[in-house]
Amino acid sequence: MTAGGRSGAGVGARVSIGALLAAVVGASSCEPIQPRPILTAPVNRCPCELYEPGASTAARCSSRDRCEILTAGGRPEYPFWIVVHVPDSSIFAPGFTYVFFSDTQGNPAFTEPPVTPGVVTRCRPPQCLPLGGLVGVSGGYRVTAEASDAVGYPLPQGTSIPVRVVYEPLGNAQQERFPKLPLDRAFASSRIGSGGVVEFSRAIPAGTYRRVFYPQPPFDEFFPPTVSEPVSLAPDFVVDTFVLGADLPLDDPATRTAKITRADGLDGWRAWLVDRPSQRRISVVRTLSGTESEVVLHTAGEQRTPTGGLGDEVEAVVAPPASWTAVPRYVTQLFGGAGLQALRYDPIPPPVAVAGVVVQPITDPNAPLLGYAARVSFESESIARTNAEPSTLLRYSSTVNTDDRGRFATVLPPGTYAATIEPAEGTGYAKRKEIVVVDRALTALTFQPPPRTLLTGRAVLTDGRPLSDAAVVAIPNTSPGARSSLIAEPRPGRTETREDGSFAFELDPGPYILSVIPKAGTGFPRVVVRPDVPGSLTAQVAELPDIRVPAPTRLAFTLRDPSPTGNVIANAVVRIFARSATAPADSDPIEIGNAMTDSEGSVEILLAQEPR
Amino acid sequence: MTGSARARRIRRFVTTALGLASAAVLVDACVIADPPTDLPRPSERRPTIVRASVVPSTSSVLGTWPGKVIVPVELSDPLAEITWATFINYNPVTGEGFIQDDTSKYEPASTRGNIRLLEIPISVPSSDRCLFIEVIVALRLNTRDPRNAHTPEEPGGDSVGWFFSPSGDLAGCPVLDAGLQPLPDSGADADAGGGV
Repeated sequence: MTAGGRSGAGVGARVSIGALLAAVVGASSCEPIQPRPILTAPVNRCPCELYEPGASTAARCSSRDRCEILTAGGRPEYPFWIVVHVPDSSIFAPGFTYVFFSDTQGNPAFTEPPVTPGVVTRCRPPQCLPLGGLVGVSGGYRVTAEASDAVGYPLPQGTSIPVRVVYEPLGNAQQERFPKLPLDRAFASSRIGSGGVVEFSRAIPAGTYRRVFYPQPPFDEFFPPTVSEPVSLAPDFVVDTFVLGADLPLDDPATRTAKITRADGLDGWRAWLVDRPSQRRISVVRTLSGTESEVVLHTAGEQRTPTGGLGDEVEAVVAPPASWTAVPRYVTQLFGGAGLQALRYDPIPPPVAVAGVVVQPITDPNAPLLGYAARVSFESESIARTNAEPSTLLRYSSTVNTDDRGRFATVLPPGTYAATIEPAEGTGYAKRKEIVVVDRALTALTFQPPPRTLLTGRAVLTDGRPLSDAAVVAIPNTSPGARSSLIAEPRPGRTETREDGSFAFELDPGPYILSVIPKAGTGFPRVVVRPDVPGSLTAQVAELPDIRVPAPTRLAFTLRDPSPTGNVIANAVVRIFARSATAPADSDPIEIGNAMTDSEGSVEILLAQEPR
Repeated sequence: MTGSARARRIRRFVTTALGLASAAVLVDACVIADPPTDLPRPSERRPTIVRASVVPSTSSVLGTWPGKVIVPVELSDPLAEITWATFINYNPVTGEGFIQDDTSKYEPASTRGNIRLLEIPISVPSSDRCLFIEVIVALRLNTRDPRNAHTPEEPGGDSVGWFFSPSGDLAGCPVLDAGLQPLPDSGADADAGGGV
């Protein structure tokens, strides 16, 4: 072998060793290259061929590299409501709520206003929605001297009495009557204002309201509440003053006189009239005494029949003092306004001790009872009377918490009750309503609510991928058509979808609104369905059909206040509501999306089709 | 030194250099390709509720039951998993009032940076008297025993509350402080003055 050959072999060997070493080092260094995603949820990215089309167009790749149902108006093509909750930190309308309505054409919320020559508007729909103006309301409840004499509390002419004022939002310039949306009432109370005048003052969004004045104690014994007709308030300062005896007279006292008897005495008891549909008090609250009490339950503006009567939709209430326990109130409907002259509170047996336990269901009567924490509410169906048939006009309700072993004790007037048992979260047992009879000196009750129903389902994207890591939220469906008085209103529940899009959680039996909410930032909309969860005494499993999550329709706009400078509304929570496509036309709208405005007042919400 | 010896030395030098260079390139390449260890994470800080933006607003008494509250929570670490719990008329003496709890996990993006919107449904109460609704958020809550769920573990948490009174009147609302006894479970008829 030549030196050159040895040398060549040596070089080859060295190169081989070097390459091997490099490969080993490289391999060992490269070994851990494995993606470790923080998020396992699928993300909406182009291409879009596999997605199902929307109502009028196919899913297309948008400029945001996202598959979207691109509509002509850049918004859903079904009617929807935008509810804007202005944050408390806003300079304009802090804590107030505004409603925009968009029909299938986007009107009126997204209607572009006509251009006014010479006027530059910073906020023009459809890209920007200006909030409505504010109304500054102040006023009071005044009484004429004659009216105050008539009620037995003489006051100088035009005296203002302290009141609590309630403004119930009914509609606005965009929609005459709102459906049931999460809009709260606005309250105000009288204060001693400038010049020592008792008046209230507060701001509310411009719109249509029903205004109610409730005189405050002790004036509520003499001066009746008053309800206004729906009144439209435009952005301005408005004086809202009511004068009893001038704007409205007291209703005829002869038709408002109540004669109430109770053999055991009425000292400290109270009586008043209630509007049955709204459960709103419409009369003064009179304190009673003796065993027979004749009082005038004054009303104003409550002439519900041509002759000034109360009609069929009014109830009379006779209630014990607030500190009394285990004594029912008497509530009777006044058909044609009649019956006010003969309100008789019949004697009832003394209350009885009720003890009981909430336990796991058992099949073997000899098995031990295993109790758990729960809450038990009793609502009377009828109350026993001494020497008479039980009465449904006597009403009593009470709620009691059990201890950790499910034991409870309380005191109830004898009668028949609907007992609602609400097992503590985590116990796995369902909320349940049972009819129980409380008729003995010591009534013992044993409640065995059944296990909750295991609801299972699967969320899939319309391109076929499973939707993992999405929240599944179930809230009770409280629409009038969905509720039943025979079953307890179910409790909410929530879970998350697994890697294969499946989910399972335990729920009470009853109607639900179930929302699949993909994680923010994944580019998919929430999808809402309305399942009815079955239940029985034995364990139940219910399976939902696949919930299909489509490519979204994007809704984006900016929120500004109505001032000429058009200041942005930052950090506002914006919620979108729509009616179910399959529910009756007057059903309650359901929330189908929400988001928060950024520092520029802009918001983007991804929406699916109408709820099913 | 002969020319061939110099050439061999040069070849040896070149091959050795090539071998080292290729190894270095491979190692370097792998150092680049090697996924970095987890980024340094900021120290744990308690989640903070953006109180001004909670829905419904806490600035007034609730006259209608909200059914659901929306609580924006600002996080120092957007990857953080947080726990929330709801209470109605929490009684610090007995620990009663716990309703439910759950967790919220990482979200890839939101319109508001590190703010996460929690949607928390709340059951309709069996009583229509004045109630106090409370939401606690924290990195960790001991919800195994509901009596401890009101107290966040380190590094703490945040809470927000609402008064619910159908009449808008706070008379009869829970006053459970300074050792006062809670209201009785039953029998109180406080609605006559409420009016609604």
